[in-house]
Amino acid sequence: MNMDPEEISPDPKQVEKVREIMLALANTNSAMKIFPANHATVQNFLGDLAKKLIDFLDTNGKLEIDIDEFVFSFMGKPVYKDELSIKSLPFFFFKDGMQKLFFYDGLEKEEISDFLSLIKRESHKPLEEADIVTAMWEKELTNIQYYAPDEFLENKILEERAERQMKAGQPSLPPELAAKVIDIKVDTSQFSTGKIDISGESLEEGEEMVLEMARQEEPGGRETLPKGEASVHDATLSDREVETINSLIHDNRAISPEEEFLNLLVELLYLEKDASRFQANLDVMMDYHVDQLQNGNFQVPIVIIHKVQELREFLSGRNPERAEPLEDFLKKVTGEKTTAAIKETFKKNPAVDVTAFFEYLRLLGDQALPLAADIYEAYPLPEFRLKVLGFFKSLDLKDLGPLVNLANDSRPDLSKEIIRLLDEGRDRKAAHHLAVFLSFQNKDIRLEAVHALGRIDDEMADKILAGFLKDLDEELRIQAALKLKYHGDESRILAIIQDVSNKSFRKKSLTEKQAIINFLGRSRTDVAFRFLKSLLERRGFLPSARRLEMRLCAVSGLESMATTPAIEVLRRGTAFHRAKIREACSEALIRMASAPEAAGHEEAK
Amino acid sequence: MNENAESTAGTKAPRNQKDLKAIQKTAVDLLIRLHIVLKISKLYEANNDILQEQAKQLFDGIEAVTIGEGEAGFKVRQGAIFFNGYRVKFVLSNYAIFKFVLGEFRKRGISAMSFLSGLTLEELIRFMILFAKREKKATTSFEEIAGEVREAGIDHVVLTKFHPDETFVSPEKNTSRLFFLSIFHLKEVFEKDRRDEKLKLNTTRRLMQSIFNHITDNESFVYGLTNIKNYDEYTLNHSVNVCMLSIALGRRLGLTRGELVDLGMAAFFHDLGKLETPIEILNKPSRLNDEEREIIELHPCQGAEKLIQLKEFKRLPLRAIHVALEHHFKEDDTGYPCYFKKETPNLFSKIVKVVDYFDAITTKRIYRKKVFTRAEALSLMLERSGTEFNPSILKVFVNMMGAYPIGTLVYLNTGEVGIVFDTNPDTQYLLRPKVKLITDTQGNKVDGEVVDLADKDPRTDKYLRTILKPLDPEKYGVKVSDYFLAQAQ
Repeated sequence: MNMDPEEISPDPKQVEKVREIMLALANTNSAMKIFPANHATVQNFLGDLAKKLIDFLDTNGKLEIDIDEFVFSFMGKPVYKDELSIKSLPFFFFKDGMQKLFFYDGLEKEEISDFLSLIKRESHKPLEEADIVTAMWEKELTNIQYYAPDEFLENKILEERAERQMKAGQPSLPPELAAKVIDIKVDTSQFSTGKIDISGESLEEGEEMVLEMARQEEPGGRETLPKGEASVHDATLSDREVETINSLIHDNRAISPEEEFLNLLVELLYLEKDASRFQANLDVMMDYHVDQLQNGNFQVPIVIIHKVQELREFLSGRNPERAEPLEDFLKKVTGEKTTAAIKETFKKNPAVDVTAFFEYLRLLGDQALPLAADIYEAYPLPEFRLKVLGFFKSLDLKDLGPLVNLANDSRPDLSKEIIRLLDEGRDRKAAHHLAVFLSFQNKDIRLEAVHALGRIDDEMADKILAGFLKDLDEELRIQAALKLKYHGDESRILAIIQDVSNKSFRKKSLTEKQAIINFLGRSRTDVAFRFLKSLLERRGFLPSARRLEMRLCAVSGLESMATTPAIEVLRRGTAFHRAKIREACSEALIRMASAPEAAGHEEAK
Repeated sequence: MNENAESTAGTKAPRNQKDLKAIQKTAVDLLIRLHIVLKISKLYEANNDILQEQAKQLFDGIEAVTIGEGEAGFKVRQGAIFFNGYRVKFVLSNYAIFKFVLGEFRKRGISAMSFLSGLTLEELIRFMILFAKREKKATTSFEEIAGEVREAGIDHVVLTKFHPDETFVSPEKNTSRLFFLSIFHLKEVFEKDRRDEKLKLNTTRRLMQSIFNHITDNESFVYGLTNIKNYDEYTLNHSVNVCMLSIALGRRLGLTRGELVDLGMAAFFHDLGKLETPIEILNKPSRLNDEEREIIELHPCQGAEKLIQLKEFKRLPLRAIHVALEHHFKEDDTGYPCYFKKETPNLFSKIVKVVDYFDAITTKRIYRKKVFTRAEALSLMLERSGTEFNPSILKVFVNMMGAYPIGTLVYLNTGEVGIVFDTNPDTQYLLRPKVKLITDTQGNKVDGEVVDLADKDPRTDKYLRTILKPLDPEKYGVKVSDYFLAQAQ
């Protein structure tokens, strides 16, 4: 049978089937917006849609749907309606100028799924980027076609023009007249008027050529222009030429768009002599750099830096004024924008290529330290942090100064880690760096610094620790006092004795007093001994809790001193009037006797 | 013929890559066979040995498919050919065949031709002769051929008529409007760029699609429109011509649709940099001095920079920026600008280079003493193959335009003057295009018919008309573009 599709009045059963199909289409589309494509719900809807649609096509060969603003129709009958313009499926097609959708026999589930994926993809794009007609046109679905007449495009272009004119305050034509600006008017009467006189032309050559062609002609053979003519008879492509073209096309497809764009930008930078344009191009490069970081493509920023460095090297000898902005670019590469982009990347996608990220950091060298520091602080994963520390080590810093500069209150974890690194060194330099932490707001960090300083056997460390004796936090002051060692600076002893003698000292807690006074004892200096002795032997007319406390501290101090004279004073103390003093001295002596270093008495210095 | 027989799509093989490749090969092979048999059937009778031999090969191919799938069918839909439900992709080497078969279907108002299991060789030959000799003479040609097939008792060939809505053959009017719309749109783009306003690239993309669709449906007429030259708005007109011809060339080369849209946009914007060139330099009637030359040679770089500075540049095809920068590069690595590191221009740049040059030298400009005819332009370009242009791309372009490109004014051996209106896709008839007669044999101007120079006098078996020489339309005051636009009225 030779099929001649004729107008058929709609069969109500058919209309009903189409209604079901459109509803199934809309439901599947809705499901795909919520769930991923392989979700059971989507698969169920898709299966239902495919069955209905394919069954219909098996019987009828084709399904043609008319599209209005909010309605799908079949043979003039509405089969689906949705007037909520944001979600409406008919509107989704209608807004891009589609007037008809065709489904043909031969359609399979996979193609229906592809179609729905297109809808999903386009509906997620911003309005000015989405176009379902473009998407379907590029996809070239075999058995799903559409009709979107050019009138839509024409109206769009004319509307855009009118919009621009309005913005510019220019007069614009009414819509019915605007289309007439592209009307074609040709005076065809000229086609039949006049004569063309070619008597001036030399025709001999042409006539000879025609005779030659006739002579060369064979049945079914090719006519050729005589030799001497730059002719097209050589224009058939050889296999090699076809291969060349295919190879050009293949190479065009193989090159990565990122690489292509970078090469292009570098060339533009190389070519541009005007300073402001040069900077504008660099700004584009920087934006691109940040974009790639935001997408986690660290390889591309690596390439950017290499290329900019290369160009800078090249220009620095020939064109230093252009090399300078390139240098600035390389410095800015680790600026705020970059840091924010990287943080965002790691936040959105923890599975980012970490190897490439560290390669990128290494390429930046010292410049990347603040960035690495921020990243360390932002991501507490132990493995990741180890890698950051590995990066720090890879920089082969002569001392830890640059690292210490990274420490601040907003990076508590890193700051503590840096203190730990300094602690590993335990030398004068480390002590010097630890001084930085005196001014930190974060108590935990200061405490870590105090502990670290306490482990360094160096006068500098003690000097810094002495600074912590004035810390606002009592725990820190106590710890500092406990960690203090005496390295021969008697002025420190005298200063502390002065502090102890001040009235303000009385306000301190017992623990703190003890800690400070114990240091005096540990110093084992004569001046400290005399002070402690006098403190112990202090008496007054009236009992005083404060005086008692100080005397008890003195006992503790003498105990820490543990020299022969100190022990002697403590022995005398066991006979003092105040019972508490007597007890304290006795207990101190007992402790000293049972301590392993009891035999190691040193004479007072 | 069994009137109740229905053509089905046939069962599809599983769609893995290997199967798809095999289907593609079978489809192309059958298409080539069909093409050969159709052509021979126009010339010979059923008992001719050559026809018999070729028809047997076609028959064997069809039978191999029908054994497995029950039918072997070609369907035409929106400028594409499908075989048993799978799109047949054409490549450079089989483009002419593809175009020929599409044309044959369209002429007869047929959307599908299916061969069913049970077909015999004798039935096939009878059908092919009947089909080949029946060309569209009236609006009801499908009914005529369907009737003849029925009467001939050809039961195993099923023809399907084009549904009116499927006939997306764009009338010339639509194509012409599209041409001017493109100029309009580009003017708006330039205006918006001047004012630093946002561009609506979606519209530009849709325009490229539409151009592609029109090229698919009406390629010759599109070429004809590129004869339109607006001297006042040269850059705009030129950019649109370059866009259309680039898409046509890219299509011939085998680029995908997505690539063709990108190519079209690249060609559309390739001269954007000229917005920065002072108009006095662009329109200077005499030779440019060194300084002026330096200024004008900045336009590729300026164009590329303009594009990357666009707010929407991320949605612009990257290659558009390449083309803006590279369209004055030469194949021998000379030209301008001079790159720092990059070695070869982009493929799209090479394509646009060819088309840009062609359109430029065939356009009258105030500074140009000599305007080349299209045929002269192609000859000149062929001389520069390998130095200025990529040889392979140029060859395809030359092939595409034909020995006598559409729009060429020609003098015929009958004394008539005509304008080439269509090329002949068969390379055998490269020198015998279709020509619209614009004078009679005495040189009097007429609004004549379009004649096929491949037509022969059946009595003498000699060609009725042959081109003696191309003419310069400027010399004879012939505005070629008007004859094409007249079709659109």
